[in-house]
Amino acid sequence: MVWRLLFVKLQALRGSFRSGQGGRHRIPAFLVLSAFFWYQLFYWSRWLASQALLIEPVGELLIQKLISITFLVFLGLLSFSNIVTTFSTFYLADELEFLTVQPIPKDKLFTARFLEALGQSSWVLFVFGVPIFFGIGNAVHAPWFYYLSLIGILFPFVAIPTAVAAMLSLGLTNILAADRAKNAFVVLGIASFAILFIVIRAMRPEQLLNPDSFESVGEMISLLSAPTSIWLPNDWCVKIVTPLMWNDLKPNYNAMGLLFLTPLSLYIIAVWLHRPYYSRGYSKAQEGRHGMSAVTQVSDWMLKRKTTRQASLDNRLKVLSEETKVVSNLRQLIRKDRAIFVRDPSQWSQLLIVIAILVIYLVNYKYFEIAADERLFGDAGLYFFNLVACGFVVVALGGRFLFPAVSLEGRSFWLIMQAPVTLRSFLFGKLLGGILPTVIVGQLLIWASNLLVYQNMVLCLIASFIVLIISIGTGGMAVGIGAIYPQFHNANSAKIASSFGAVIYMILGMLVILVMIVFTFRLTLNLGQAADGESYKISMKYLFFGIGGVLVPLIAGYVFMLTGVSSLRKRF
Amino acid sequence: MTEKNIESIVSLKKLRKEYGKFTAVDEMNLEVPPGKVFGVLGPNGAGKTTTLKMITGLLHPTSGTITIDGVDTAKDPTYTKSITGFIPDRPYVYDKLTAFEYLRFIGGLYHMSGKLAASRIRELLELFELSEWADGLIESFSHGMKQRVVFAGALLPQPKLLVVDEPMVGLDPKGHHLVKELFRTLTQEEGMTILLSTHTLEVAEEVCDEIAIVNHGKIVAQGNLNELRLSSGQDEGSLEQVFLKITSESKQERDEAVANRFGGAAKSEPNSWSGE
Repeated sequence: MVWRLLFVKLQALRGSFRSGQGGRHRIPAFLVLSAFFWYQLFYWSRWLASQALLIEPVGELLIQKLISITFLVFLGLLSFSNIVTTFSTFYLADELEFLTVQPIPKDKLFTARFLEALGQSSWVLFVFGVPIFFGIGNAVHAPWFYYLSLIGILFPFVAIPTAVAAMLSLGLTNILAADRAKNAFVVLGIASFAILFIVIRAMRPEQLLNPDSFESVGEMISLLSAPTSIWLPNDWCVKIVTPLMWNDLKPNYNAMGLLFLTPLSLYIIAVWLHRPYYSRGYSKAQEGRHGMSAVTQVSDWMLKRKTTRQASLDNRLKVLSEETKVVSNLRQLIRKDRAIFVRDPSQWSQLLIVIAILVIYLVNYKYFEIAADERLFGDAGLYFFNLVACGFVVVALGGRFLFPAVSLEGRSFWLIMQAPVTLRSFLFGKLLGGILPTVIVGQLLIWASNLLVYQNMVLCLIASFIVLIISIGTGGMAVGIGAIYPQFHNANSAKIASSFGAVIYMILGMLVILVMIVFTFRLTLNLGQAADGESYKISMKYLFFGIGGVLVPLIAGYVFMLTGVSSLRKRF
Repeated sequence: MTEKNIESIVSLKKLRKEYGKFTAVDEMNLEVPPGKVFGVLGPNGAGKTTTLKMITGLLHPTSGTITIDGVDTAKDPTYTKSITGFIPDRPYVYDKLTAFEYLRFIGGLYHMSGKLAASRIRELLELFELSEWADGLIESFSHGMKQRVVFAGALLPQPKLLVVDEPMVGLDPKGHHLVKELFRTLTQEEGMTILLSTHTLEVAEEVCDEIAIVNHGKIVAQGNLNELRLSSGQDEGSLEQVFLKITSESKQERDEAVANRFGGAAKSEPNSWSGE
């Protein structure tokens, strides 16, 4: 039965590839980009591991720490993606209405949904985590059983967050007062914030950048050999794979026991809990907005306040009839999107993620400045590192806010298609309506981080300009690629933001940022020297490179917007 | 805008739509006279909805031309869309907007002045008995109420052509009556053309001035009820009897027609498409 339930999903997936709605080049483009990214991850991990090996006497410990950090980062990512995925898979998916009325035994339905959630939320680890581990293994000439054991431990590793998330979703849907299920995302957003923050601070990556900051080799060895936490699965994985990497075949039974028995126990507990509570949770998740939770009350109050400010329908119609200027349809689209965003509690959790990103970034940046000091980066290095990191944050925000914009039209998209609005206006409306948060956060980050280290004003202004161009360019890319890979059937913006298309956008967005920074590097450096009163010379070559660098994201954004328009046209 | 003196508000010439190997609409020719209720009937999978969606701009034809009010939809889609309203069979609208906001949004999309939009919104909210619900979020509405909101939205910009796919789905008997009355009023008093696809043959019989019967992506009969009776070889009988007679076919005829629609690959993928 479980196999049947999964097989039908695989058939549907195969059908979606066959339908060709996303264009014939969708899959090949994804494969080529993934292969490129896969190779880059493999190459740079191998390089980093080879460099680490040269640092005596802590090279091997550094590699162990690198593996541990990679597992920890993936654990953080898996925790978040599982929360989003299990919630949709168990409570919001369209086919549940059909499945829950079929004579399917409860445990089998749970297992099928569990495996589906596991696959959906964990593919990222297999596609982008494996090359990192393989790269490290290749650098240290690890034997074949290192690679085999790696694949073996990934399955229990990914099952743990899925089982925890399944129980968390079950608890939330049962505990919360009858309410729209999506409201739970506000709570989940806060939980994700806490998880992300703890995970990133636990890594203390800044100390690894500057070995000289340790007072003695002994202190350094002691820090590097200390486990992140013996209660976290990343530590168990490290204890299993690192001895194998160095050809040590003595198994760590303790770690193996914990790694394999924990997901098994969690799965059994989850099955046991779902038997009595799942149907109650599912039923509550389907209830309309008749509940009276705090979130519903607040949104109802806001709506009432807005509508009663103009007292009655008569007054509102009067105000409308006095509008002399015909409002452009672009502005109408923006107004509509704004109203929908404000009224959707599942979107509010996105704001919590923004706050989380801001805090984590600034706290870590300050640590980087202290730890990296002159030796590793230097002022200029820190400045460009900051620019790239800020750019990546902007790309991530674009993925969260702008990429899902077209998909969120959902089944109402017919209204846009049959209205006298061009698809180009529609996409530009999406860009204009959603770009403001990205621009504001990008500017806040770059100004706050530069002012935090007393950067000179000219460099602050250049950085602000570069981040603005990145925000606009990658914003256009996000909307455009979102239109090339739309998910009209998916109402969950967090899930849309972690789809295949979103990964493609993230990869391309990061590439565009790197190209821009490389092109503008020399010009920025020279202008910074000028501001510091040093002698400098701006050659025409660097000026052209600089201008080219500024144009790259803008052209990329524009081209992807146009491609998005033509892709939507071809789709129907 | 100058008034055009045209014989047909909608004209389809050799219209074709293919989904991969499957031909949903096959070289269809159709002329829809203005100011009438024109019904498009046909069995499931005949190509009705695909045709209507191409007329409204929701789907692009593989080949052929569509002219609305004398203008080619491929050449000036913004104009043809500005004079066409569409009511789909399933009322998917923005759930997080109120009914008033939704109508104001539609007014904006069609560049309506504030004054005109306000008077039309008032008129339509009253007509569809939605005034008390104007400030309610659409997500809290029943299926029938959502359908009424969609009707109001489609009629707001006073389109010359209203394309309706299965108008009665989800409406209560009072709603049925309201819609039938409305169709008559809109065509007789406002000169609107209504292009209607339905499986409810009593409704078609009652409101349609002319009917086209579609089967296997082609028009197999066209005319008023009397003309359809004649073409089916009957002197009398309801539209249902006429329809069944015209669309009846042997298993072999059906298999051949299906095979033709799949490019000659007989019965290779009988269920691999979902559109009508």
